[in-house]
Amino acid sequence: MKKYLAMLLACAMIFAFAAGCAQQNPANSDEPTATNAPTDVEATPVQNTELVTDGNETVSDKDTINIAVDREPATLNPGGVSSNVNEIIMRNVLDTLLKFDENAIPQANLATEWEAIDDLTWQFKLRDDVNFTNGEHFTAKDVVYSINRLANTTTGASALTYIDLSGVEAVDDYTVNIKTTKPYAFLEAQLCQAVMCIVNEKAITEMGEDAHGRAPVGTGPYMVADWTAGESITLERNENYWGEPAKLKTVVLKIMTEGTSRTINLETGDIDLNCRLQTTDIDRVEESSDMYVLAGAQNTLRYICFNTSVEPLNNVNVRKALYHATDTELIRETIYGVKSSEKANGPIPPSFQGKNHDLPEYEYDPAKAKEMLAAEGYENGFEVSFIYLANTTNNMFAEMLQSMWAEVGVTLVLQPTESGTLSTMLNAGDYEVGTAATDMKLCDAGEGLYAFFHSSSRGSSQDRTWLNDADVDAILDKIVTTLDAEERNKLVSEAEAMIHDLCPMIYICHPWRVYGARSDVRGLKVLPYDMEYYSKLYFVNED
Amino acid sequence: MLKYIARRLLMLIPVLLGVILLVFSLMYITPGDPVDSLLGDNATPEAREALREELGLNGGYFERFFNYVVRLLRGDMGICYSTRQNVATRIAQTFPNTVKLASFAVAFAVVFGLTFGIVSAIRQYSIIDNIVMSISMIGISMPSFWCGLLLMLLFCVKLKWLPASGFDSFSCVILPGIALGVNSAASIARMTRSGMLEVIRQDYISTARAKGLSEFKVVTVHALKNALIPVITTIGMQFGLLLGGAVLIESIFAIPGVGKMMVDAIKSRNYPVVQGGVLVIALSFCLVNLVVDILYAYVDPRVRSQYK
Repeated sequence: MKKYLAMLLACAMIFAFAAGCAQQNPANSDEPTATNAPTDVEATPVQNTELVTDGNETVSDKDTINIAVDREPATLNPGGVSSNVNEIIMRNVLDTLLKFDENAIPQANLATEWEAIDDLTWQFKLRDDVNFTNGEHFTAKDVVYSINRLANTTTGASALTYIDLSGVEAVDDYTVNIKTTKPYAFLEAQLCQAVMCIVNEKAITEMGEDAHGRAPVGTGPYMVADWTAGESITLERNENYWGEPAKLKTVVLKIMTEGTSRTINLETGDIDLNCRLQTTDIDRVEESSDMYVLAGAQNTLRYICFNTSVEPLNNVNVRKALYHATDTELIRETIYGVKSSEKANGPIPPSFQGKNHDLPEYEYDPAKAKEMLAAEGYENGFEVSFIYLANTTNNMFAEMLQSMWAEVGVTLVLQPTESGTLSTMLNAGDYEVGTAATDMKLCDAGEGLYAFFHSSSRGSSQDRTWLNDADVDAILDKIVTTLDAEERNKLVSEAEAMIHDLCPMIYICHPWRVYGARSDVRGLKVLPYDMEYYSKLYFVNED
Repeated sequence: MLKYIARRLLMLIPVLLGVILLVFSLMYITPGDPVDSLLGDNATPEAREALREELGLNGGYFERFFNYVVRLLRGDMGICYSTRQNVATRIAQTFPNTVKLASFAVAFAVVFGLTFGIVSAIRQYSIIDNIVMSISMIGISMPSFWCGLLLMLLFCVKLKWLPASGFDSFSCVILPGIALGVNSAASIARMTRSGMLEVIRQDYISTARAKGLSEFKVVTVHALKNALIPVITTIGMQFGLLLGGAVLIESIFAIPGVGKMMVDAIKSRNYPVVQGGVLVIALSFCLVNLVVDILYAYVDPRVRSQYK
């Protein structure tokens, strides 16, 4: 008996060892490498935001695409409970007055042209050939209703901060005026947001808010055909869409919360597109000849935030010392991956207009950090708490930071927290140091800086530093009211330098959005904001 | 017998009340506010307060617990915070999938567990016995989600025999069912083996053999029936556990069952769904146990005589 058991265990150990080696040395394995990828897929597609093909492909008659999404939306009503997934679906089913182009610049959509009549009033001319999926004709009244409706929704009211509801009026059937409470430079970007999608009053009244939230009546290229809770949402092409019709008839969004499961389903072909490919799975997908990876910069910033209103973090030199004590590149490479993130120096992503590319870097230098802390009277260091969302990635992040700061004598007390409590504590300023990732939702650097660092943003979900600096406030106020883009960009650049010098955050990286797709999927492009245009997707025939 | 069943059904009431109290209290003391999870970060304080009021989250512990129990007695399990559907409707949509999955897992576990257990017992100390027991040890030790991922890699990715997700055909049930049932199969195999070993040493087995009965008949008719009592207990327990334990497997295979629904609900502090899900699983567990106890009576005449 013992002999057999020993043999069995030995076999198991050899098998496990062999399997482990195979995992760690892909170069030695028989697995296909990136060079085995189809000829139309570039050897290093991970750096691409769009697939480059040789143009000799024929379009397949396959008309259904299965897409994995990482969570189930709560509702598809504008102003309802919001998540990235529901915003993307909403923008494929409903429509906004304006929409971002590939560079996040607002372009015509339901509105064909627009102008600022005066500092406070904007006039929008609307398309006259648009119908909702319930047959109702789209007019200016729908715009007025949609904007006014937001005031009574759970999350929509915050989109109206600068909009004067009494000044939102239909001039005629195809002209609408929108008034702001003060000169507001970001109205166009605001009108591109999913929360500003146009709905039909009759549809909501007849169906009720809840039912409309599960099958909204819109003017987009798709409409919701079926929603099976916890399983999938099926979209069917809107045959009466006013724009270029969707290439595929059906889009099935499969709800798959497990990242590994999404990748395996992509490998098996059960799904055609994984919109949230895990960093750890990038190499595996890249190495396969049946799949490819697309990745690109987004409007997100991952950072370590200081609560600048509490001691000793209210001391700018202490914050700078802690920046010098942090090896941000090591954290980025280890946790966020060099293939799925880019270095951050300053809060504004490098591709944004107004980005200041001349900011000095806070290089990793523990000796300098120690010196700076000693100069401020903290030669023996101090203790601070570090609050973060409890998950594997963040745990690793926290442990790395803990050991880096321990080198300069600072004790980091780890405080892993679940999401609801984390938001509550961060919003209330009930923390010392934390980490989070925040989107510059409007894809505008000026608006992002205002939301992140203006003292009036305290208590909101975007202010994570509780910075209160009169000079910063003044320049940010000026940015919001400056309508001239060039002048605004100059101010943004100046503001970023000022904020960078105050060091309210340690910038870790700008995480990328990474997609995994089957090799016959075309039409996908990584956009600098959270959006996938399902109507542009199609399949090609493969030999 | 009927009296016994009625008594057991009555005993369910305090058990279920205990479950309700426990789950309610756990959800109450767990940090995190469902309103934060539901509204995200962009909601105004007024919207938060209005939603808190609407969901009945403003009252104290006793008030909320009392309201919940009263509603439950009226047959109202509450409203799912995120989809605004009735919790009972959501459970009705998802529970059949979980039962289907658990039933397949139990069937797999019984067939393989019993077969391997019997073979192992009648070939005690042989190489087959050693291999079966070693495999069953691995089966017991292996976490079901890991087993599920390995099966997925082999049968879906490499061999492409079975689908890796969905729940619309029988082929979709096979892999998650096996992943879920491996643990139970291993337990049943070990239990069957020890039960059989105990029985086949009894005098009446020697007598049966002396009478000239075939080994097959001796094992199936005389030995197995008497070795089955502890095995039935294990099967019953395993079925109950599988109903509640399908949580990870359902998430990995993207199966719209009660387990996946509860995981999503826990993440978003969707109290009514979590409470409803646990309640239904607890009730199923109790009912399965009752069925097992009734089965005893049919398998073992000694137990049957106690009910007369």
